[in-house]
Amino acid sequence: MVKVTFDKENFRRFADHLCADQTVIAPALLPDNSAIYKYVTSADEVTLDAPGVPILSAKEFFFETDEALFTFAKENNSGVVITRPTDPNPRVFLGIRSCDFNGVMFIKQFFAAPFVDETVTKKVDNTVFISLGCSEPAENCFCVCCDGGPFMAAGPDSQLVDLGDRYLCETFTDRGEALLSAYAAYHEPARSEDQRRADEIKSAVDRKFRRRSYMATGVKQMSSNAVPQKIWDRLGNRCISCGSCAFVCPTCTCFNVVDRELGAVGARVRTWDSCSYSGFTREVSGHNPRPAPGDRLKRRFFHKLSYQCLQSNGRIGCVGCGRCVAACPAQVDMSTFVATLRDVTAGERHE
Amino acid sequence: MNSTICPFCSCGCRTYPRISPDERLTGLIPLKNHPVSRGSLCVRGWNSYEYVTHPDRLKVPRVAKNGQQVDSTWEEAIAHAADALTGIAGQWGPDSVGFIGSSRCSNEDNYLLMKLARGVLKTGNIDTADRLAQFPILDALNEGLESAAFTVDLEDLADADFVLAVGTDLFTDCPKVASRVIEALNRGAKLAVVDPRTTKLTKLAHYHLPSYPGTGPLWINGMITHLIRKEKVDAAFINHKTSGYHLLKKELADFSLSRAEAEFGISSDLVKAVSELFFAADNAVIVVGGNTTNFPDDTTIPALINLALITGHAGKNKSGIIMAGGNNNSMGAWDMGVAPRHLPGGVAVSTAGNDVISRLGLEGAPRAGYAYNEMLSRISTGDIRALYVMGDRLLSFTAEREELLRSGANGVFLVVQDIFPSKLTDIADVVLPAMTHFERGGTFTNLERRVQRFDPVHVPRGDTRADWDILNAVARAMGVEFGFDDVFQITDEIASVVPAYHYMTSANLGDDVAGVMCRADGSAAEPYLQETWKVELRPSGFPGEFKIDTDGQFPLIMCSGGFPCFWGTGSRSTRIHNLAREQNAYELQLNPNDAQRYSVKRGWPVRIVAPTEKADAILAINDELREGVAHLRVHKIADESARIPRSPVRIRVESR
Repeated sequence: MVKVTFDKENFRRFADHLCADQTVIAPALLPDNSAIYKYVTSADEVTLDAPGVPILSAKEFFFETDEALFTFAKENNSGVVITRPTDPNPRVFLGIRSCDFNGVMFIKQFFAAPFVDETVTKKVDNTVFISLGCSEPAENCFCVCCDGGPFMAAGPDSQLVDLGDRYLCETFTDRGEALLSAYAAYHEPARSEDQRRADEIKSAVDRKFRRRSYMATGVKQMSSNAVPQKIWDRLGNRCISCGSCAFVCPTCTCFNVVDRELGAVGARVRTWDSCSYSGFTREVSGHNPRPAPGDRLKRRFFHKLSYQCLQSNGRIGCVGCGRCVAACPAQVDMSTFVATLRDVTAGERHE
Repeated sequence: MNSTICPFCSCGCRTYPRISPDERLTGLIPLKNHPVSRGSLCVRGWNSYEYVTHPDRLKVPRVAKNGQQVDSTWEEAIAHAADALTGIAGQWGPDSVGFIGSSRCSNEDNYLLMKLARGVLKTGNIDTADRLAQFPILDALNEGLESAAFTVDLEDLADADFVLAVGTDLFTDCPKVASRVIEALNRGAKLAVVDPRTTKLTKLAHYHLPSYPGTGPLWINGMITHLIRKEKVDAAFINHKTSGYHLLKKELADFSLSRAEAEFGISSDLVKAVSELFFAADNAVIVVGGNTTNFPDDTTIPALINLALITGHAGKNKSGIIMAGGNNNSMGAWDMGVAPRHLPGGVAVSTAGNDVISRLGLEGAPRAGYAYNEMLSRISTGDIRALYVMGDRLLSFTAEREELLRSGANGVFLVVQDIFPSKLTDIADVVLPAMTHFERGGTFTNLERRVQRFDPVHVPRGDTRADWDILNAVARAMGVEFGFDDVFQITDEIASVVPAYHYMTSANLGDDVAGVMCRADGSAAEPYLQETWKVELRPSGFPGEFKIDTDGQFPLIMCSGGFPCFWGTGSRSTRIHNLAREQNAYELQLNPNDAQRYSVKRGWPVRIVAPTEKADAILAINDELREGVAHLRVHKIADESARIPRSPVRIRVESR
């Protein structure tokens, strides 16, 4: 594993140079001082120390909000010409958070089986990931309970650790190393004291999480269907089926496919969707297996927390980024649900 | 990075665009540190982007020539419209021309429409479809409290101890208000809902008063009567801040809650309990919605105002009345004077002084004019000979609209400015294709009276122009130079002429993503905190004689309501896939006993028959709906000629 450090001034220069050479995605600030991942063109825009997680996860750069999968047009009088999109351009994702990187890997896995959906997988494969480990969890974070972060031992091409005056850059892949060598002017080999500081930071971060989420309990309860119906009723009465949770979630993959006119051609378009919408599950006959919002919440949490998810995906379907906690207008997010579950079942055990 | 405001309900969430490489708007993201959106949107907001690039968008101006509508140019279309309007006003007088504005359009658009109507053509015939629901509420609030929006903002609402929601299905009409109510509930607040329907909100309510439509004022006055008799009133507040208490007491001296209970079957104990809780709460908020006028009278709001005043839940922070309903700019359209009887700032035409008139650049005394429904009904009488319609399909008065569609070009000279085609644009003499708000800038005023600036987030489609730009050009073609090159110049003029918008300069608005709050007199301090603030308690009166007539021809009374995936008349929400799929037909809900009584079953296609209209729906059974009431859930105005009876209305139900 190659380890180098960038002092912060050189890191800015590196980022500028990278933006000039490549297409770069990085966290940036919005006018309300919240963070967002976006395409950046200079180091000025890159804000690795932006407060809190970016409003949306990184998935929109791979599984897009609204994407033409292919276009179709008439050819002469009887033919149809189908045009597929060209291969995606290579990109560098600088400063993706661990939770969001794990989310991207989860999404790629989803779209890679039972057949490979290259509209997603190729974008992931063509992107170099230089992640940023989090030394200060934000208010709603609970990645530590979900195997979602805050630091990774493998996975991205490189991982940055903020040491204060410099970044330690740990590189896990050949591709990552190749990128580093192309920008050797900006970094130097890591010293043992850099490594020591990084280790200290990594071990200190667990204590800084303000939100404890009882995910293990959640998984057990969901898997054994031991959730009292009254919880679903209570949550369902509040859930407004807005879809915010699905849209901000790094691991949600619900989508809709529609055909649209796009000028002179037709386009088959995939858009984001949400299982919290009633129409998502409604069948052609009009029957809806999940008619009540509570039914759909139940399905959502089961999908993410059950043993089935663990078995199919190798991990639970939540990376603990805390976005749903912030986004839910009715306070029926993942973390609240698991905490409620724990309280209710603890209470019932004592009754 | 430009941001915009959601164009649907009156909450006013701020969003950032997602733009694809081929410059299409492909998504919207809520702003996190924004007092309204707080990092989330509702189902409409998240999906709203899709209609901007819909192929149906109007793209070129059109004019009718020899009975045929053909593509035209801006120069020709505007000249044609201007000539016709001035000609007709010249020949038949200013009262023969009518203007219909839109609570979906920006403050600047509506302000210029007002200037065109009152300043250029000198007519008082200007109104908007909100006349049918939101505007009566705002008029009553303005009259009763000297402010068309009261003291409660969204943050205050989350701190309420007691919420009284009247005539509103919050989860459908105003999701961000519903979100704050949930917050208050999670903190231990109590919720009472007065609504003939059962909705998601009534499910969360601690107290549900399923008042028979039209009887709202009875229960509210019942509450007031009870509190007066028990002396559970804020005597100090009444003495200090109100006048006319003795008249109110006199009006209610003989009121008998038990008699009302006997007739309409709502427990008077429930009414009394809710009133006492309302009085005793530290922070009590009344939330009123458009369906408050599911009660067909103008007594409900005055009664609610009295309730707030006598209990002292007015004139201080975190208590009072908040309007939850209407479109993204209902409040703004009202403030901009898109109304026949008031000028920008809510100044009544009848009492406007010379200073107001000159400040607004009007010459001579402004006239009171016809309201929305009056303009429509006067087409067939020949009183209205030209109609300028901005952002409306006139769907609310089906009979008059059908008459208009039938008479076509012969009946009235019709100019329509809109984003999508409709049967109205089909028969128009001039069609002017407008930009959606995503493609331009301006300001909207939300239900909190927060004015927010929005900027373009999408390249304009087709050869469209912004509504204000079109109106500017029409005035110019009539020989009047408004002098605006940029929308925010209009914003600045509004700030200089409307006292409540004094701080809404484009510079101030540009600085703060949260927008700027209005103050009724333009000062920084809340008006009701001024020492001198004092209002009159006005007896609300009672609705007319109201009899339930279950044996007659129309034994049921129908209220309508919306649907979270639907908005307005559906011209936008039905052009968004994730919204349009949610429901396919009108759904009429009946109590199971009523369904049995009228021999219809769940899932059956039924016909709704009202005295002058019919509509088709699918029947649904709602165990919790009270007998005698039908609830029509309107999903989309599928067939523009479908004559949906405007509720509340007496109906009968037949199977098809």
